[in-house]
Amino acid sequence: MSTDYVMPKLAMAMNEGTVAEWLVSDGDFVQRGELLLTVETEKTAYEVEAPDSGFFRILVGAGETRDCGTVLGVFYESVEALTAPNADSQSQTPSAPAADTPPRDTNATVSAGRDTVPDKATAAQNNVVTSSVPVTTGRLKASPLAKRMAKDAGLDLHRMTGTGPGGRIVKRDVEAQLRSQPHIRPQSIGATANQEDVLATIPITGMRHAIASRLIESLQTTAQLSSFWESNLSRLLEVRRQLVAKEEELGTRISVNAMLVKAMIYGIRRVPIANSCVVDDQIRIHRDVHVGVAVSVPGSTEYDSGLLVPVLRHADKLGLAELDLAMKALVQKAKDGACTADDFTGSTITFSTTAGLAPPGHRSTPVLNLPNAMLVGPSTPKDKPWAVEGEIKIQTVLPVSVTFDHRALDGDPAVRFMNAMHEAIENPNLLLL
Amino acid sequence: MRELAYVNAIREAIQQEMRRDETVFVVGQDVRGGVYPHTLDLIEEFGEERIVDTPISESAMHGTAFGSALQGYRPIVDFMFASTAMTVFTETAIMTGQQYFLHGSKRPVPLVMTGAWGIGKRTANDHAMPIHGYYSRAPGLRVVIPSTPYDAKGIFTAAIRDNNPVMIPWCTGIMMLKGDVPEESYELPLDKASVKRAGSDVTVLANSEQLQFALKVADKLSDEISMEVIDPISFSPIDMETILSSLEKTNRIVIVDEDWESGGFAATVSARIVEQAFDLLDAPIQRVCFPNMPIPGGYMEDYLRPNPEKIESAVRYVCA
Amino acid sequence: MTEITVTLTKEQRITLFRNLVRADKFGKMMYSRMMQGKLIGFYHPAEGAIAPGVAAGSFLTNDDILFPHHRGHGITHMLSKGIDIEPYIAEHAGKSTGCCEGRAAWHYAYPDNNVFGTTAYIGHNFVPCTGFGWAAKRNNRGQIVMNCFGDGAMGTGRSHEGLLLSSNWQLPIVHFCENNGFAIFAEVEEMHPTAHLSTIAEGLNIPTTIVEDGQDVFAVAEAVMPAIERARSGGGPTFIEAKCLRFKEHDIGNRDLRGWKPREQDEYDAMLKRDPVLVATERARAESLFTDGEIEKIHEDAEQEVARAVKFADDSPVESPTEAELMATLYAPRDGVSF
Repeated sequence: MSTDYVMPKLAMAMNEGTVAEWLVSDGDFVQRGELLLTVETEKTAYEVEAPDSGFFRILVGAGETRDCGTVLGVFYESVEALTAPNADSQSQTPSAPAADTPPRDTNATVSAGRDTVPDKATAAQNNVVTSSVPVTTGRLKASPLAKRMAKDAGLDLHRMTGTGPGGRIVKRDVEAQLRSQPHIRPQSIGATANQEDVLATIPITGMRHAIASRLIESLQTTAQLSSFWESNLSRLLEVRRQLVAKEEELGTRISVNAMLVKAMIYGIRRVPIANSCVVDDQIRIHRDVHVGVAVSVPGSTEYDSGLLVPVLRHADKLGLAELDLAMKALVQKAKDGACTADDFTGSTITFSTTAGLAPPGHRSTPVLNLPNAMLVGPSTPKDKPWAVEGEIKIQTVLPVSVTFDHRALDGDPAVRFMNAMHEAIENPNLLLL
Repeated sequence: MRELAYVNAIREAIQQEMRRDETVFVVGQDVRGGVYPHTLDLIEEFGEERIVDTPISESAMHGTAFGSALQGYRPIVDFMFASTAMTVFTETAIMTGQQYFLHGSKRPVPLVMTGAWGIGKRTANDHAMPIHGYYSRAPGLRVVIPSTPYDAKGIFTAAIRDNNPVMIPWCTGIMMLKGDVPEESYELPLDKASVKRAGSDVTVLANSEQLQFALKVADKLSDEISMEVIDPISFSPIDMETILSSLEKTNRIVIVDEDWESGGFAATVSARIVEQAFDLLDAPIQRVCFPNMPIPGGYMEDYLRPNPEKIESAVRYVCA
Repeated sequence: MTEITVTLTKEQRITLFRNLVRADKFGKMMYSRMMQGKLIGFYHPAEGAIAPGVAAGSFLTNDDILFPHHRGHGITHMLSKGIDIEPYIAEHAGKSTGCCEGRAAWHYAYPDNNVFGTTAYIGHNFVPCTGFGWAAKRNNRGQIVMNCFGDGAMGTGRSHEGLLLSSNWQLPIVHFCENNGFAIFAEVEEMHPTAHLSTIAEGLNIPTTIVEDGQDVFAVAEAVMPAIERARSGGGPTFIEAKCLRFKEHDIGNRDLRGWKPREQDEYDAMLKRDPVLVATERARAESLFTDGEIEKIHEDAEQEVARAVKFADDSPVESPTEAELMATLYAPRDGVSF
């Protein structure tokens, strides 16, 4: 047995209040009538008495503002109930009018959600790319209209944040979602070929849903375009050979990828706007470089794959060997399914290589990883005739694709960034900078 | 256009219909003298045969109208105060309402019942009580309330010409409200709601004095919230079509009615919306009504009755 | 008070006698059909107390307005006034060929015959009758109102109000009280303080007539006809109180009590000797009004009429209009309505 404690309505005109201070500690036994907390409104502060007795779990911290009727804490009958696993994230029967009670886990990441994604690996998958899509678990509150609209559009209400009273998902929330993420599910095309012909059916849920919705959102909401060039990789490979010879001393077998990330950082130093994000109608140019590294992981069947983009933090602060080690560790962590939500947040630029997988000389038009404004996508090098100091020689040439958001970068800075990176690849001395 | 007070618009409708049709007459208590101005001085023009005073005998007074209507007359029975009709509820609501249908829909009962009500006049329950909720439960009656001078004339004219019993409880709170009223005779539909102000964020239903309150709130909030204000006019039958088409646009609704909260117009409309248009709702339906207690006299009614503050608060609630 | 006395013609007596026999056959048929389960709702038998209704209804014009007494569900009064009885039984059988399309059960209306329905609300008759009287007076074409009710209705406030306005306005109404001594079980002697209910009307300055032998249809008619004449000629209302006998229980299936104790067998035995058909037949024979052959013919005709009406009701289908179809008839249209 438990009883929710909600933000009290202390005056006719009060619609929301701020928890100024809890006057009890989390887990305390609170007696009815005891002073429980101080609530601040625009007009005044109130010391509020506990309406019930019980072991009290605080759910909303001091300084937080909530609508009247929103659950702030829970009275439990016993210590056992209080300390039971997931006790405070469980959906309880609200004592306040249901309309005023928000979904308990509105802002919780998926790792807290037992009823939709039970295991850790799936949890990580759900946070593919970034964790900006919160997943609601527990009792979902949505208006009838919002429910119908979401159903019609094939949207998952559990992936929306309600902005209505008490966290209710309302029409405007679905509309916002529709604008940013229209319809990831293919329209039914009626009767298709017979079912026996289907090798495997992969539901667009979990990680696939996240990939699909995030990439569609990217394509639908940005002004992205791709550019290509080729760099002569021969000198860089020569430098690498020397470094590989020092593998024991360096503690790692330096990868081409690490050197290319170094070249990318060189480009950023020359053209800082390449390291930017578009968020809420703002272009935020970052000083630190956090590289989102695209990692292919196994899919749900033998036929498909998965894609994760964990973040390599402060890549600009790392020496080449450190960077190489960190990057390898991160990729392994992703493949092991050991990444947490934090590993997926905060990238400022994306690095997505297909080298070794794609055919030599391959080029592509990668899709931007929101909210990054730039993605650098090298592919498999190819030996080809190349003009070197007036002579035709066979050289190893790297095809590089980049995709950038024209909202943030016009052609001028974009090509200057590409040119700087090209310069660093062909003159590996610059990677020392 | 010429301005006329609400109560005088009623009077003009009665006067013009009495001139037009010999079968129209008024029966009530002290209608010759005109306790309320809507029958004032009509005795001078139409004489005692058509402006008929009775003793305080509500059942026989109503019977004068009911029986003569079955004989082809078009009586207006004036209960002075609407609540007085409740003293003969069996006659006015049940017998009058069922007469046509129960007897095979052959001989209609063309009569108008009217009387004044109004909360906020310090008169307490007996004089103040709204009766449209009670009467809208009697099938076969039309229950209509016009809320502007223009509507008052058009609705009374149509009610007198209609072949069904029509109950028109009018609100003293807007008795002297002035507005444009054409001099010539005209009718308005008895079963249609009227959109008094177009809007897109929330539908607000309000009648009588509350309509004026709702329109004021709409003005006040116009920069923040676009309120569509609808006067239901007909409480039986209820024009759900107009209400639902508005709701399709706004997805939110506040129902204001000074009737008691339980079992009245607001409750019926709420239930029908949930039944017929559940998927249109983006916020819970809100009702602003009188609490379920007898209407106290004195100053208490000011904070018990629906008022602009309560309407605003409900509008903000559903638009949050 | 102007005394008007009438002497019934032979033709009028034959009309009364024929209607009395018809009403009796109808009442008995209705009783047995109710017992057979072929009637819907209740049946409040009029057996024994049909002479007043026959007298009240037999000399009305079609334009006159009749509010029949509920006992016998008005058939006594209405068939005397001349309604078509086939739709009557059909209505009571719930058939859509009924006079109210199967909607009224036993609260009949025949607007074309100026009968606008009875009701379960005792005393309600005074309400529309006030308006009928008001309209009849204003119409000024000699139309009168026959307002029939029982002793029970005189306990209601409505009766006071209706009598008051009819007196104030001198309306052409015959207030016709069929005092059978019972309101369900309650004895009139216990429920009213005066020997005659007509004293209430007297107090409102309405001329009154008491018919002590309401079992004698000719005697009742002799009291009714002057009242009709007074109303028709602008003389205002009259209150007639006809004392009569109710042979059966209030409604079929109920107990038949006096107060709260069963009526005595002696009472039934004595009543049966005052059967209105028996009384009328004896008087007809004594006064040599008709031959035995004529009397037999009247009985035969009435039986055939009843049989035809029963067949019509039995042969009529039960129809079930949809809710939408019914709803479409809830309100009267603006056009195409006649009064």
